Amino acid sequence: MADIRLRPGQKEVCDYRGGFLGVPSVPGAGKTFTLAVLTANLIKEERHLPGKILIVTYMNSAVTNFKMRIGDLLEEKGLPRNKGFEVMTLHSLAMKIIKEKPEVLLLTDEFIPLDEIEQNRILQRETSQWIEENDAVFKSFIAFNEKDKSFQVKSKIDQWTKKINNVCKEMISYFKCKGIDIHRVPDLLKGLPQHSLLRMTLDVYEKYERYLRHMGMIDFDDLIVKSIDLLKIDDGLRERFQEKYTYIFEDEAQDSSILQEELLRILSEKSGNLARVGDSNQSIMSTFTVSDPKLFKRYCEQKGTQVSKILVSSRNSKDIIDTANYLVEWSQELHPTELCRDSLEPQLISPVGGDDPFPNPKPQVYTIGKILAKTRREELLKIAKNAEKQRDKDKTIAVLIPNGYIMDEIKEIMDQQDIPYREVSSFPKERARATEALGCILDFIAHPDDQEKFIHLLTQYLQEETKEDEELLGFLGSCYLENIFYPADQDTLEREVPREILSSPNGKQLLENIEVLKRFMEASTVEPEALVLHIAESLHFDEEQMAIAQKVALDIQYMMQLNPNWRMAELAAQLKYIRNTYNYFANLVYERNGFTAEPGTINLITYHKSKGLEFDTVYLTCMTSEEFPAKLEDKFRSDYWFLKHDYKNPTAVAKAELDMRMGEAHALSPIEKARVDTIQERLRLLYVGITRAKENLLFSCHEAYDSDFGRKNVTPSHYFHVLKNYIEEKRSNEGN
Amino acid sequence: MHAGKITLYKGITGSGKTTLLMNQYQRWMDQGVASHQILVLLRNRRQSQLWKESIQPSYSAKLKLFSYFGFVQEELRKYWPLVQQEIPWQEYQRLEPVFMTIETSQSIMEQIVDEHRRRGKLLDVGAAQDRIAMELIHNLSKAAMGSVALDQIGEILYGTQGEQGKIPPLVYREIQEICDQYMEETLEKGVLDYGMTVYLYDRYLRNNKDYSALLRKQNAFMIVDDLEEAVPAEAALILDLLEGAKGSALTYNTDGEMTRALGACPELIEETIFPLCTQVELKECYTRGKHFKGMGGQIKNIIVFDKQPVETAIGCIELLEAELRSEMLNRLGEKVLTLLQDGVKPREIAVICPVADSVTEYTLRRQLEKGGYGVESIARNKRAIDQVYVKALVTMASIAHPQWDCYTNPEDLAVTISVILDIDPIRCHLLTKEIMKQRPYQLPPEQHIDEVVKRRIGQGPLKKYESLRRWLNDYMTGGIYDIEYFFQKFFGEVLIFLPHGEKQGIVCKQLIDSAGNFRMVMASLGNEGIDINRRFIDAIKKGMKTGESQEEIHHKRYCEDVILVTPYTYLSFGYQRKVQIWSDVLSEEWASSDVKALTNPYVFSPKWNPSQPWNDDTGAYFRKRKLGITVNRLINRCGERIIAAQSLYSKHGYEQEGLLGIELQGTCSKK
Repeated sequence: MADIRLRPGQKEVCDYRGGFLGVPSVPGAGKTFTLAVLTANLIKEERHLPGKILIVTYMNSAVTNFKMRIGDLLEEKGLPRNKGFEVMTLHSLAMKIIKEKPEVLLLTDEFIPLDEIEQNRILQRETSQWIEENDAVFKSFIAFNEKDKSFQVKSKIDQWTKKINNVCKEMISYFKCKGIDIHRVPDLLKGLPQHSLLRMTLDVYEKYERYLRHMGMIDFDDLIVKSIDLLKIDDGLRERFQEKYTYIFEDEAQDSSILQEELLRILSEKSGNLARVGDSNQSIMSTFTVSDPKLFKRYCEQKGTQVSKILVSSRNSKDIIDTANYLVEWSQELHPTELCRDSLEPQLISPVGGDDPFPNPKPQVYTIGKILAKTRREELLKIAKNAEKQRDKDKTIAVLIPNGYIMDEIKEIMDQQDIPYREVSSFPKERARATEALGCILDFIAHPDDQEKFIHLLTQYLQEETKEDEELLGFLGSCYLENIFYPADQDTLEREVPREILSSPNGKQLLENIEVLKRFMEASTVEPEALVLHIAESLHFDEEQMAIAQKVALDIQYMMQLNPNWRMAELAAQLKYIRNTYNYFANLVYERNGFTAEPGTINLITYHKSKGLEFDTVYLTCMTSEEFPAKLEDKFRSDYWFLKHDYKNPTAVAKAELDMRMGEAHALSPIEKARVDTIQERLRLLYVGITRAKENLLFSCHEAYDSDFGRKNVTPSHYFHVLKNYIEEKRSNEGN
Repeated sequence: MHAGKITLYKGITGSGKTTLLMNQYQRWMDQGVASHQILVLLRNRRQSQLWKESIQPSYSAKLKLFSYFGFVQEELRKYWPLVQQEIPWQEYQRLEPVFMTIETSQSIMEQIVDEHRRRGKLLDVGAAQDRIAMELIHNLSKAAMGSVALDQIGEILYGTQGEQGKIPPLVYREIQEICDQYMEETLEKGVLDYGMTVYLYDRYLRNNKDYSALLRKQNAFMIVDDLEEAVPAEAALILDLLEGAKGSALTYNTDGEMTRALGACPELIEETIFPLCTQVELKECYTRGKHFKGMGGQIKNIIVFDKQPVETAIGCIELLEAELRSEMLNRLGEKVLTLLQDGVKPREIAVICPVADSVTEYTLRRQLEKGGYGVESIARNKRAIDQVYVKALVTMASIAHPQWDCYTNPEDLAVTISVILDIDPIRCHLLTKEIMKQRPYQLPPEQHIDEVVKRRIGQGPLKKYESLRRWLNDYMTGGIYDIEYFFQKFFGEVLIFLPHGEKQGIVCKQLIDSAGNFRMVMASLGNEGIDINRRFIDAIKKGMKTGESQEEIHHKRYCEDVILVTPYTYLSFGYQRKVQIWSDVLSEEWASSDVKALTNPYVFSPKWNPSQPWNDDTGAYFRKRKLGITVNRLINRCGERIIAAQSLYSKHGYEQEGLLGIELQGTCSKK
């Protein structure tokens, strides 16, 4: 290991040989590298024997990253690449544990965790039923106004109907995290008023859970819960796992939940070797998952935990480091909401030493700026054009977007401006297209006489150039499909189809596509699984798409067992929402090789998804008070405008009700508490955004946006002003 | 007192045991022993067919070839009155027992499970009705085979927990209640499933003095193949027969049992039958490449006992690696093509996968087709409903009987119309929509069909449609409304005249027989009328499989193509291919546990100590043992080469670390 140069903090971590270790680290500190070196060291010294080192991380891309790095280090030492350690996501670990003995949990061995779309479908059914049976209660939460017109009343009802699913979903996660089994539901319901959000969510939970059990399904939350249950119940299995993993390292520990912590605690109980690495300032999942940033902090503070901090980073330029540190210090002292002054840990980033072989970037001028635009569209257009100029400079570029709606808007702008980009998401649109085509074809096969479906299939997937061919589309809209698919003879075809169309390139291609579709229709009498694969092959799916198609085929087998009356139409409806349906699997397939930013490419990415990545130039867009609230009076996305004041954040209210019943009181009202949590998390999200940038950083914001209901004014976030003032002062100090 | 010679041939897979038995049979025949005096107990229909093809009697006579279950069923049928007089609790007397198919028993059990679940029972069980039903039926049959009292099932399962008490006793009480109700509704009425057939025979008939004497007299000679697979109840029968037999020849595979989860108890055989035999050890293996000698045993020891290999290199297994399963399947297919192009014949290659699935079959088939080769999927019995003619039968049955209130999917209707009228999918959808205009669906008279639609469909198909409609109308006014009758009539008067009518005849006949059996069973249980028919249709839609005909068995055995097969099927057919490609070796399915949420087949064995808790080590031992035996046997049936293919991620995208793959990684070369 003499060749590897370790920085302050990294060395201490690599000296670890056992016990409980907490490693708070800053962005760019080289956590993956450090853990990889530590792992290789321990394997070289055979300290892991007779077991293995287990590294638990959050994303599949990180799994690949770790394996590669550790493998390279082991190879350098003359050791086999894959021996002595395992890296997996927490969900993979939980699956592994449960699959050992599902029978102990009274689960069938064929259980498959529900994917999001199926979970939503089941929940939707249960919530619809609940609404039907409890109409008065359902409406009692809504803020009706005497002056409301009928369309406004309907809009509020529709909105609440749509959102109730999300509330139930979050609460079900919360129930499971708190260990509330459906056996406890009757007790918890006792004494609850009818007009109680907790009662509503408990009712839905019970029915949802009963359904899952009847169908032999488990959801993602269940994975962790049940793996813990299994380890607690089965002594032999627990011992086996404890002996198997003699060291456990957890990456991204700030995103851990109490259950995850419990799982790792059980696994490390025998060896007593647990190292947890994280950055509390990058905890950005807690408001919509059950992760809790305080857990990692508590772990580091507990007696018996050795703490080694890694505070040095070579990723960012000094100016960007200073900006990030300023945000930390400012928030500690001057945050307008006092309760949020501990949002960021007082953990400052230091640049590396002068002699470090990988020094911090040193741009020649001050390269942090800001833009305030009148409208959102104007802001995004400016960013797009600015980013385009950056493409020539051979730098990696990322535009960070707060949410999916704005992502669609900027993509539209960039398409209009003819600016190429890459959407960084688990299932970017262009990749989803192939599998959406699958669903669309199945839908057409189920309704082969449907002209609209045929035209949609043709123009969207099979032959996009026909979108502009008005003559052809006009003909297709008025003809009988059987006459072009199955004409009695060639003469009939020539009579049916105008000569100009028949002889045109689009026409010829159309006939070829018709032949392909005919083969699909004729093959539709075979098993649906085989048909899906046949279609995938005919559409020349690439390797990743084929992997997903095979997963789809296997799931079809399973879906048909559960729903023996389903045929193509029902399967097509399932596949229509492919983007969500195969989230987990798509993540695996597309992220297993990690993400590499290419110089000159503009990457469009959400703030959340940017975590763990780095780019030379970063644009932090849409820094409005809605996206980055700083005060309790700001507008919060989590507030439902259509509900009464006391129920504006129904999830927070239901959680608070439950906490109270379980004896946990909170000083703040649930709405206030939820707002404080949101402010804290969004500030950390901003910190994450800033620390993605290596050299160049641009903040931007707008003062209004155009919605379906007209122009809406917004205020820039308080942080935008704070940072604006900061960088202006810096510029003037540097004479820029 | 044991009369006559009892010879036990002991040897590994491929040592020629079955051949020796066949030779013995032939010798007896040559000595003048009548075939009806020789009872041959085999494991399954495939073995039975092999015997029929191999033995050439000098005069035509029926060979007494039976599986244990088949024999027991036959005996119960013949001597039912003897059984009835022994059973005081039976509800009413019946002339002969009614035997259920697996689907029928499953359907009845499912209904009972459903009733209990609606009442809030089995709340903690995370499994669908059909899975629970299947596991409870397994419990009953394992208990019967192990000669365990059927009212003790819940208690025995609960007892496996020892002091740990992982699962509350309530679940086991509920299981027993369901089993008791099932027996009340079936056994007590003389309607028998697999397990109950064995139970009644073993408990009541076999011990009847008169029957026992007759049994020995009628079966003076006995042959039993694969004794290691015999269940305790079968062992008891064999012991009875050995007592007075004039000659017996038995075989025992020393590689170990494949069907312990189905009740096999080799320890009992060794304890009770071995001492009575003259044992002949067979040393050779005729189905294995020389370079594999000892390898199977070594790998088995590594897997089961974690022993390190005695020899330094077990390098004869090549490893193909990939991350995703789809990549693995591609590499596997490419490997097969390479082998074929290098001159290996298709009939010399077997692709062995732990579980048969459509994706593997499709992918392999497509790759080989590109090279002009075929692949035969031996493992999978297809769902009946996926057969087009079965779909047509079921769909038309639903339409012909609106009173059954069966749901008809529009697509099934469209496929049916397409097949019968021989029109393209688009036109048949147009017609289907017309049929769907009324609820329940009806075939409207031509004059009620939209004029535009009529024009689009054309005169030719309309004529055929009208003919079909008249047939249906005649049937509906005929007055007989029973599914078996409908199937027979519709097949015989309509489907048989269609282009593939005759070919589909076997499948349709199976369906008709199943329908008949179902109706008979239900009638015997006191269920009459509409419900039976609808339930049968539901059973088909839920995935009832087609059975294997004799022709199919013959075709599969002598298939000239590359075969895709599970380990058990490969071994039960007695294949001995030159090249074996083991797919998905990292999948846990190679060493899957037979212990499920509500069943544990091992604890119903007489060799299981009831006071012993079932723990992690025990479970691990049985899984490893099963895997070790399988791998050993496969190697002993491989002529030249083994290639193992693995993917890091399972078909559902989770990392897998199956025992077989892990062990092979340590011992194989990677290519």
